[in-house]
Amino acid sequence: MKKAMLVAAAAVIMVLFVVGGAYAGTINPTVAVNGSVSGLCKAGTAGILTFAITDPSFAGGYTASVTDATVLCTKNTTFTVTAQSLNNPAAPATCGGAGITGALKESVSGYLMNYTFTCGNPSGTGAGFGAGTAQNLNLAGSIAQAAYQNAPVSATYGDTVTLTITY
Amino acid sequence: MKRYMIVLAAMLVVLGGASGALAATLTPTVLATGTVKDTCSTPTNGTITFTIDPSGSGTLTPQSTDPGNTSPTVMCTNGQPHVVACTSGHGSKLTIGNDGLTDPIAYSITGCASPLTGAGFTTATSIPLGLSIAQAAYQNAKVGAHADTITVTITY
Repeated sequence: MKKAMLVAAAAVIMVLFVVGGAYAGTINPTVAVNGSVSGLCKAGTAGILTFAITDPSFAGGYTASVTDATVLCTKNTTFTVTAQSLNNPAAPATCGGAGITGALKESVSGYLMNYTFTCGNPSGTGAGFGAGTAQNLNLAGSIAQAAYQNAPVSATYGDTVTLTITY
Repeated sequence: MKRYMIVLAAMLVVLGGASGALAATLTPTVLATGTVKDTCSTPTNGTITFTIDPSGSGTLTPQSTDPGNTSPTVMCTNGQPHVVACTSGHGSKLTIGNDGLTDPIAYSITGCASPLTGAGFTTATSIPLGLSIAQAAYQNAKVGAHADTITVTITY
């Protein structure tokens, strides 16, 4: 008699289990996520070259003190730099190697002093846009005695060099 | 002979009684029961495609409801609530080649509302979801395509 009751209980449990199993399940649609990181460059800080011709009779020439220009690019994006002087216009050319020749122009007389403008890093690879990722171009400038020895005294010589970042 | 006639009369009475029973009405009923199964079917996949400007600022929030994107959908039994969960294929990171390793961009899943209430099997129910990507996660990302696959699980 006891055995018969156990069989009946087992039968009931099995039926409940089968019914419950028929109703349980999951279904799984997916979402494809595709993010494309753009390769681009942007100007960082503008550079400043300052020539102080303290002695026009000095034969050795002068070099400029420099606040470097920087550029920021997407990580792994390569770039090259060309330069063009406002006062000595020529086609933009690489500022690496021998660099380009610019001209400092006196604002009143228009007197011109040619100088050499160079970039120590005329090309590079981006490191991103976070802190510490700006790429220094290592700008430099020099002026020979022939350019300044007959220059009129003035504090208003100037030029603007446009740097073009190609990436 | 007289005794036989009495027996015949008794039989007639019995017949009369049977005739009375045939005049009554019977109204049997049928108890019909039906159980509507709680289930889901017909899943469709979604897409979230977007462009990251690493020089930008702020948190990016591409959505499956943005133009050009699609939300995943499913059909479930009308009126029944179902638990929904969304899981990244690679630890909530977009990676180059969707390999889970290369140049990971961390993100979190937004939306993915639960529960989802079914609307029957002629109406697909959308499950809108999106991503939230902090500037710190993308500003130094490498140029190129970063991908992940989010699996949406609807339990019924």
